[in-house]
Amino acid sequence: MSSGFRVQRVSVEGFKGFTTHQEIDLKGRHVFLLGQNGNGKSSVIEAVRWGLFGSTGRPNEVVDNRSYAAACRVILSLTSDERAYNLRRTLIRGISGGSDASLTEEGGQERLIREIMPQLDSVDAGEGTYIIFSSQAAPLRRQPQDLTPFERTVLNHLGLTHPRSLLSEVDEVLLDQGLIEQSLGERLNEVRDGLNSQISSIENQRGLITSSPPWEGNQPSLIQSEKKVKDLIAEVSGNLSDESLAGVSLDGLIGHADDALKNRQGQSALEDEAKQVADTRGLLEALLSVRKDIATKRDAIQDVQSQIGGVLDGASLDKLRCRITTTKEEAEAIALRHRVIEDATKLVGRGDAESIQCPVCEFEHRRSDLESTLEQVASQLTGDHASELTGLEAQLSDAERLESVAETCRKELAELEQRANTHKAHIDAINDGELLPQGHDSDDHLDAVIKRCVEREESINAQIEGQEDWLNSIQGRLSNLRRESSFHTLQARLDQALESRNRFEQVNRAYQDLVSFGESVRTIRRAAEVCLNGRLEEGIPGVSENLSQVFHALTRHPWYDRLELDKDKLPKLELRVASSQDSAGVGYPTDVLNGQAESALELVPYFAFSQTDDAPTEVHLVLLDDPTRAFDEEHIGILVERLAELGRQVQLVVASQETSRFRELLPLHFQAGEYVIIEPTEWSYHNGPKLNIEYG
Amino acid sequence: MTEQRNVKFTELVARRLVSEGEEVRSLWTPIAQEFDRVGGGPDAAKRYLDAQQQSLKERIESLLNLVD
Repeated sequence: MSSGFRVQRVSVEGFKGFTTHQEIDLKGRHVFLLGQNGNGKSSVIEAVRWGLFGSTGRPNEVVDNRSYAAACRVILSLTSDERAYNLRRTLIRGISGGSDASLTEEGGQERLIREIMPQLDSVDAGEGTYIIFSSQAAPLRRQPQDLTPFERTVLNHLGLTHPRSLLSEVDEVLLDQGLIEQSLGERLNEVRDGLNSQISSIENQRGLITSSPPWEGNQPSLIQSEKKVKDLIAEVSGNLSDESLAGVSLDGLIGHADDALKNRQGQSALEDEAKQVADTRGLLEALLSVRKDIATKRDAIQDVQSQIGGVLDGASLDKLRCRITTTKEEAEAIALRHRVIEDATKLVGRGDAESIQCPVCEFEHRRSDLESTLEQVASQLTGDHASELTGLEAQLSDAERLESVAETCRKELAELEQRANTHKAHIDAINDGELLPQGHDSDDHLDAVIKRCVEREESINAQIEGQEDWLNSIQGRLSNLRRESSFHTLQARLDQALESRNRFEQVNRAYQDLVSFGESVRTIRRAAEVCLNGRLEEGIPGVSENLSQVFHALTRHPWYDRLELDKDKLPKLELRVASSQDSAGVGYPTDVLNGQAESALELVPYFAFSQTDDAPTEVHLVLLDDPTRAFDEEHIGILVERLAELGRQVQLVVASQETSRFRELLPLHFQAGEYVIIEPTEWSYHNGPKLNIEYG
Repeated sequence: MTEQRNVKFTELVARRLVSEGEEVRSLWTPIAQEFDRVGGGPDAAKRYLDAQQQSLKERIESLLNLVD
């Protein structure tokens, strides 16, 4: 028996079904947990497993018994020939799966687990139950995830766990390498394409300028272009030494030139004066025109007045109207006398007397005298009053029509005079009353002033035209300088882009270094794999022999009596079942084995490698929960027989429902005092499992 | 075969890499040292490779930033 640790005693509280604190004294013996399911067999096995590794056979399994008020805790007393320790593990509540573990010597002195049991500290329950049988030069902190428990067991047995892990580690590096090469390669392509596109675009834009250059002679330097703009600014602003322009970029100088030009255009008074003179001239011409209209209107009024005088013949309209009234009265009086004479004549003519009484004087007169007097009076009533009246009324009508015309003319004249006054007021307002002083506003004076205005306008327009030519010239030069500035900007960008492209070559070289690194790693990986496979090929015959012996002993299969590892799959380790009776009859276990043989196959590594390794490390323990699943009585016998052989190397903790068969077989294959039978008989909510412990 | 079994794994790989270029051999030497170092193993060898890979990657990214 070697000097590995064995489990002497187990202290459990608050773990899964353990609702009370229980001490299970194993005395370092093999443990057989027998009985029906549901009474707590597996809880004991899992308590030992959790105490050792901090996890159970099933990841993320809840181990805390919530009805137990105190901590969930397992204490394993581990002893070897020379040493004894207590491994105490306590669940950290609130953190899923987390636990605190401490290792103390018998005297109570705490020790680091990784110093005393480095391998135990480095593995978990899933793989721990397999690899604790074999020694390792150094523990692995990080097991390859792509290996099956069987592969780990075999590799560990052959001492090739580290080389195999190296392959897995290198594969991870190469996986990252592929991703890095791809992502950086794509980025490099993007940058390269971007740079080439940028350079091409700049060259095209620069070509547009150089194909019709805005400069004369040789291509100017940046300093020369800056001097040109400064000269232009000085010319426009009149400021020959502007210190504020020192250090200003070419673009900035162009901006200054723009501003100077705008200021210069804003300051020009010629256009204002031209407008003032033009306005004045327009008003003067309007005033002159109005004054001519006034004179014409006055002449017209005078003419009408003269016509009225002619019509009235020196009289007035009122006198003419009085005369017409008088004439009308006279005509009416004469008409009345004629009617009286007619009546008197008729009266005198009546009868035939010589004398008749005069109707006027009432004296007797001779009829002939009366008739003669009446004729005389009638002849005296002469005059054409009707035609006179008609003539007078025609005269009045003419006079009144002419008077109306004269009145209209007078109103128009008043409007013209008002307009003339307004024009003059505007002219005085524009020119401060200096142009048409009081008493100097004759038409001749106006003509003279208008003439002077026209001459001034012509003079100003000539000056403005000259200034526009100058401004056009400046703007043309400034436009060219803008293009020069664009050229320099493009040139600077091109230089920068070309420099970036040069720097990109360094990136490219660095990327090639990365690719070479990847190739080197791949080469190394291939070499490592060849070496590993060589070592595996050396070890495979021995491994296959061991596996075959155990498999055959466990199953006694009539045909398949050999287990082999497929060399074509190396470094992957895949089991095949074969027959010594037919070398061609090789198959996958799941294809050719029944359930019992498959169950036996799962146990093969436990037996095969524990027997061949005579130097196990740390805890010598095999935990088997229900290994007899699907076994018949004969195979249970074979299993117990093999367990007895295995028990010479390690401590066994085995749970099985086959209570009577185990009780029958155990005394046949194990020495008294070598084992303990624990039979959980019942389980209660308040007391947990009740354990009957029998020391064989 | 017996002689080969006695040869360390890293030396075995080194023999296979003799015919490779200097770059490969000079990369393998520190990997093998990390692998054989007490307390080292495949983890340490991977850390060395990761560091080399990261260094190359960072150099490229640093140079790329200058170009961009």
